[in-house]
Amino acid sequence: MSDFLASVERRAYKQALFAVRDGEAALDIVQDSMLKLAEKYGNKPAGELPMLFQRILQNTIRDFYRRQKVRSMWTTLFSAFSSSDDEDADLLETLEVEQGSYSPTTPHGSLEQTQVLAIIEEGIKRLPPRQREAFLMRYWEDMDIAETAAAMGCSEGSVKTHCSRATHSLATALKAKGVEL
Amino acid sequence: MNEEREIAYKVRHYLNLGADKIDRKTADRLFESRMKALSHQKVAGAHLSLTGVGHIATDVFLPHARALVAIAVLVFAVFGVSTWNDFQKADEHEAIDSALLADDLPISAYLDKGFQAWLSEHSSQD
Repeated sequence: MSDFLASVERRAYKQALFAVRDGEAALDIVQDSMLKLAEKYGNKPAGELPMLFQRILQNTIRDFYRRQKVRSMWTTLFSAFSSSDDEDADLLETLEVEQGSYSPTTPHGSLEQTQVLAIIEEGIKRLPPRQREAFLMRYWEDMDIAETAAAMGCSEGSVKTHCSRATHSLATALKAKGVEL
Repeated sequence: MNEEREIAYKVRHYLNLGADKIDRKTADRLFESRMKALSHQKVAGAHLSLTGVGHIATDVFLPHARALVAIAVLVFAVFGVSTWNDFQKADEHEAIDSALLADDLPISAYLDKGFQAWLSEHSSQD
């Protein structure tokens, strides 16, 4: 259990951060998810933990959304006039990335890598929630289609569709920013 | 499909870089969360120390504790009422016996058929 949590905690934090866009809330979500997993499924075989943890994490994120929705009902009047310029701001207008340049050796390369990462993370944040869940579970958590479907509570066909659309949306968003992976 | 996977894996590479770049404070908070979770971990062998009678007590009787207490109270109450009735009857018999021995019974008592029947029944038993 300890090894599993250690291996997954950073990715879980980033997943929660992509979804809720609030560092403190993301940390709370990861902590709640870890606690639930340890308390309820602490005696489960290691092979079952990734799927169980993802299911718990996604449910905890959804709970956060629900609470947020209720809270926003009361604050709509105050926040309706605030601008949302930050969300629409482009992180980078144009950027060319050399193919296969994963390990930058120069300060310029390192800067480019950071900028590409920022664009990718922003693109993932903007994906529809179900597409983001499917994409991250399937390709970042390396879960197979059946596991992803079980964690998301949907069919394997839906997982494939979500993943395909998410990848297409990301590729399109990156191209629009001038990034070629 | 292959192209999709290729793009996805490239994206994953960048996401891994992002996860590695998490600041120290956040990493510490995640470590604390992990430790907290592990301290609450449900362990498979937790009940091994409660084998035998202890295991039966916790796993079998504890979930029905309320019903068991109610039944015990009911049985105790029935037993108490029964015992109290026996004491009452004994007191009545004692009063009659005392009156018989002291010749304090009124004459009407000897004329009562029920009393005669009771007297003959008890004298035959003795």
